[in-house]
Amino acid sequence: MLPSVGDVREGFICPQCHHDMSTMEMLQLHFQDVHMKQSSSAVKGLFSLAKQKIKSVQDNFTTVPNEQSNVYTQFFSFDQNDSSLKQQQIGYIRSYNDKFKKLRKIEHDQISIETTRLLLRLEKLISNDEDVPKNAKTKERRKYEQEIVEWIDDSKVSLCPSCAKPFSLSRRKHHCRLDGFVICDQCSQFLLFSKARYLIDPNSSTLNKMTANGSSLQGSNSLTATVTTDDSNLNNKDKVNSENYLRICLSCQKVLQRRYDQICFKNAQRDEVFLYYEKIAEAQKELANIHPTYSTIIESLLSGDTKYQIIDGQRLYRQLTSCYEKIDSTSKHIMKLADSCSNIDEDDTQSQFRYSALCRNIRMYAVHLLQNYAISTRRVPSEDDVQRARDERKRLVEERNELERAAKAELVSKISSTDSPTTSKKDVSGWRPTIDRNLLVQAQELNPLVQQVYQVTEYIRQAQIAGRYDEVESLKLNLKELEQALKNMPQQENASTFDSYAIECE
Amino acid sequence: MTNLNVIEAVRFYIMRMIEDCGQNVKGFVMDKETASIVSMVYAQSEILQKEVFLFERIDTIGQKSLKHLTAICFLRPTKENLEALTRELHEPKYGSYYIYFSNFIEYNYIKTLSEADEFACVQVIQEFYADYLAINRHLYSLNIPMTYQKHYEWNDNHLRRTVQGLISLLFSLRKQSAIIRYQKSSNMARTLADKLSTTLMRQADFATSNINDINQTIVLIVDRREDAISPLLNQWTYQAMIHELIGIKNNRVNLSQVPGIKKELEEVIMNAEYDEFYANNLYSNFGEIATNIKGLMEHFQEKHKSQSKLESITDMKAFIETYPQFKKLSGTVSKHVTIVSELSRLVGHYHLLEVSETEQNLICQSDHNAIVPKIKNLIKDDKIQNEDILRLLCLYALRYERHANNELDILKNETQKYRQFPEKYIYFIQALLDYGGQKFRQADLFKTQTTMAITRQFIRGLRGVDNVYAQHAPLIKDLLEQLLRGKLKDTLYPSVISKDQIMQNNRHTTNQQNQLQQQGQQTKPSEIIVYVIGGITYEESFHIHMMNEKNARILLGGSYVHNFSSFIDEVITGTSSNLFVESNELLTAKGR
Repeated sequence: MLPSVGDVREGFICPQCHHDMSTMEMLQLHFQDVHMKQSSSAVKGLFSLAKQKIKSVQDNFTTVPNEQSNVYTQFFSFDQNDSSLKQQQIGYIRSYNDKFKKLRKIEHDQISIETTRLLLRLEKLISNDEDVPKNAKTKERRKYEQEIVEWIDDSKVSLCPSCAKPFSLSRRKHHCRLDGFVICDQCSQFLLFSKARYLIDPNSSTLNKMTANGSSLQGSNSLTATVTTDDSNLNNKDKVNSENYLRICLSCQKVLQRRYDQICFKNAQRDEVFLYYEKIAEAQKELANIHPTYSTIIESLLSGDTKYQIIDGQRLYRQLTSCYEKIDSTSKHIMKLADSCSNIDEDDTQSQFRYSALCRNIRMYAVHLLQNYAISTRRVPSEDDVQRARDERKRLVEERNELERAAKAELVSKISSTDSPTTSKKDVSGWRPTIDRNLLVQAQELNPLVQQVYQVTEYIRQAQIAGRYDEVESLKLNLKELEQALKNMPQQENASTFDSYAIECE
Repeated sequence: MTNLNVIEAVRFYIMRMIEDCGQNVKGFVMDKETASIVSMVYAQSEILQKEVFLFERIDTIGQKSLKHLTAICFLRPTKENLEALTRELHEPKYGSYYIYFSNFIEYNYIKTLSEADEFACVQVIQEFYADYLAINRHLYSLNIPMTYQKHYEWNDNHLRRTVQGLISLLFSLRKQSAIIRYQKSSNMARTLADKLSTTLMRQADFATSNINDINQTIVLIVDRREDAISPLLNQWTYQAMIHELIGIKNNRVNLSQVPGIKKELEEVIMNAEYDEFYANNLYSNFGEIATNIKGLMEHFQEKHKSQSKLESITDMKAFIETYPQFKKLSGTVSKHVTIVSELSRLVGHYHLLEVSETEQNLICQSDHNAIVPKIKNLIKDDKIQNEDILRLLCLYALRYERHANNELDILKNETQKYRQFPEKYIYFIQALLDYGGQKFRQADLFKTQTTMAITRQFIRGLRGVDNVYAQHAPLIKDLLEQLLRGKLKDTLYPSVISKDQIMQNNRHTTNQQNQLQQQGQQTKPSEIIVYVIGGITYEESFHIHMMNEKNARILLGGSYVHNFSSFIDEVITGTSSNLFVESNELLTAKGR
């Protein structure tokens, strides 16, 4: 898996037919022209395709019809209610997060007590106040230093604690200014005031810039200088001479170095790659925002809806394309970084390999991303297309209206004007009784009142199915009325004929 | 009801690692073993889509730090890894670390790491039990090519690795306990079973609502020495055949030895999870694959309205070469055509059909007088490879080890008379008898002893055989059938029951189960996990797959997936040293 980074082919390869389309634009056109027509809704990008593939593999595994397919079922027991058996879950996990953090806290607390103690002393020692003696050679200065840190009695010490060599005239005793211990000159570390200030307040110090840069250069981020005079340290010593410094012992140096490293780690600058990658991520976010809207607009335009105009689609399309271009060009730029490998030692081939793998993989990721979008983004339809779609829709709407009107007219002509079912219709929200056409046909020959009875009975049945019991009640009332009316019909019939005659006479 | 799926189990863990890490730029840090564990179940391109842009090994992290990368460290809990990780945390190259160990770790490790983490960049430290190679849904391996030490004993490292591997397998399938049954005749099996049982007791402390999980899984530990036949046979199902004739290593097939191979096909990846054709044909036999490939090609050809007709595999190969577009179109197809044509070349060139038929007759029928002349003929046939003669000699040696008219020495002499037979091979025959001869075996490997088996064979003899190349069914299938029917003898395959477990039993099992047990009835297993010390074969995998197709719930695994050549190496390292000395003396004596 690891060495195969190099041999992955890059390019805009169509996931359906594997033709290399060389650019995103081409792929988009190609995919839309060739494959969209076949199954526009089925394709949602490469990833889902891959999923489908895997799914079909699974299906092939599970569906093997065999007359003897259950031979072994009887030998295994499983609880059907146990959900964990029906669908496999992630296995057990044991977490040490809490334990680890607790241990780490104990460790860190101990060190931070030590660090704070030293930093407090350090702050006093390098104080800029006027009444603090500055010159290291003076007695006042020494007195001031001893006020802050008690120096141990050097008469008891005969060996240097770090190099274990005996003190003599040529190997003189020195005191660490931070903890007062005795050390020899060779084991002493020298801490510049400027660096000490940085340690105390990394943000305001002028050193800030310098160290932040320095920290990326490996090896040169040692906090202190030793006085051993080999060539590389000469400069440091010059500096030491010209600037105020503190003599400290190795153990204090370690504590301070640790703090220094931590500050550097926190303030480490972003590598170029990440700055660029952020742009990609941004563009991607924007895409994720715009793309669904764009899709609905196109969908709606193509279905002839007038909610959106072509111009809306075009506007969004421009935004999308600019995102694509941004991703494409940024990732290409990152790809170029892979070869330059800035800031890396030439001998450090491992790091170079790593860095260029990172860049190449980001590019691959971007290409893949674009590929997915290319497949799922449709071009803005032309004016003609939209017009055609709208005409079509209009035609369809009219046709439907026509049909509805015809149906209504038919109904009106057939059904008497007793409006009980229509009122019940109005009451209903979401549920609507429908008239079975067959029933209507059967009932056509019957008296309108009888038809009405049939219909209401049918409505009651449907309402019962739908669980609308209050409606059932009101409909039943209607039914009773109708039945009553049906009983009285002969008389009414006569009466109505009389009425009509009467009207005619008038 | 679907069977448990080891590939899915590992994928779940890896998916979770990546998800937990959140949306940022990630690097995946692995060791040699975890790298193969991951690559068995995930294609790199798929992980790449989750913003994992760097894949590296813990032992080769470079100098340059990239503090805005997040590291997902998936490591085995070895001392070397811990040391490398400690060094890494002292000088972090990543901004933050999500650490996942593939197995249980000692408390000391946590402490050491917490002390090393000066920059407080460790975010998560967890155990994710994906500590085995998931090959197919029902097939796993621990990738230990040489399990046996001299005198067939455990080496401490391998024993530890095996226990860890099996525990991680159980945990990854959410099983906290199991009935462990082992082959009594094998010391190694007993040691492993005991160690597994005690370690399981110690490690399994996960809160679970699933009480049914208790004691329903059976782990069956078997020693390869019980059945040395399966790795000796030529194979005819696709996956098994590729492994036998070319070799599959971590889903990769090296085709560089194939004559006239194209550069990009020198090494191909064969992963059934990403290759539909392969998935569909893993268990197809050679004839079926050829037909299926032909169908695939014809389908394509139809598409391109080509007129040329495909009659033979050679035609197909020619066809592919004339269509460079086709190659791009589906790398999978050209890959499979290359492999199948290579397989058929080898089959034809070395007369493997003839060899295989003799092999199968040798072990599945009992006509000694008919088989010896056949072997002699093959020895004289210079088209047959030495390797295949060795297979036959080995099978003969095992099959007629105690036969009154054993002609092994005559056959050996014959071989040395007619061909340049490597001394290693002669030595191997001896080593193999020591490895899996009758002295060690307890099962009726050739089905010649029980009356049942004899009648079955008799009936088969009357009816004729369906497929002369697939008469053999591996012993493990027999054992499983017996186990399922409650006929696997406790005296031969006892189960480990520790005191703790008995207590746990009393606590957890329902009255009903107790009653059943009192009545001498065994509770049915929810699944069976087989582990074969000394490795498994794809032939066995095929047979287990067929059982699972009929609703069995069996997982098969072993220290390694062997083919004949890797098996030779393993057997030779495992032989008792005195045998080696003996044979050396033999050699020097001959020299004189």
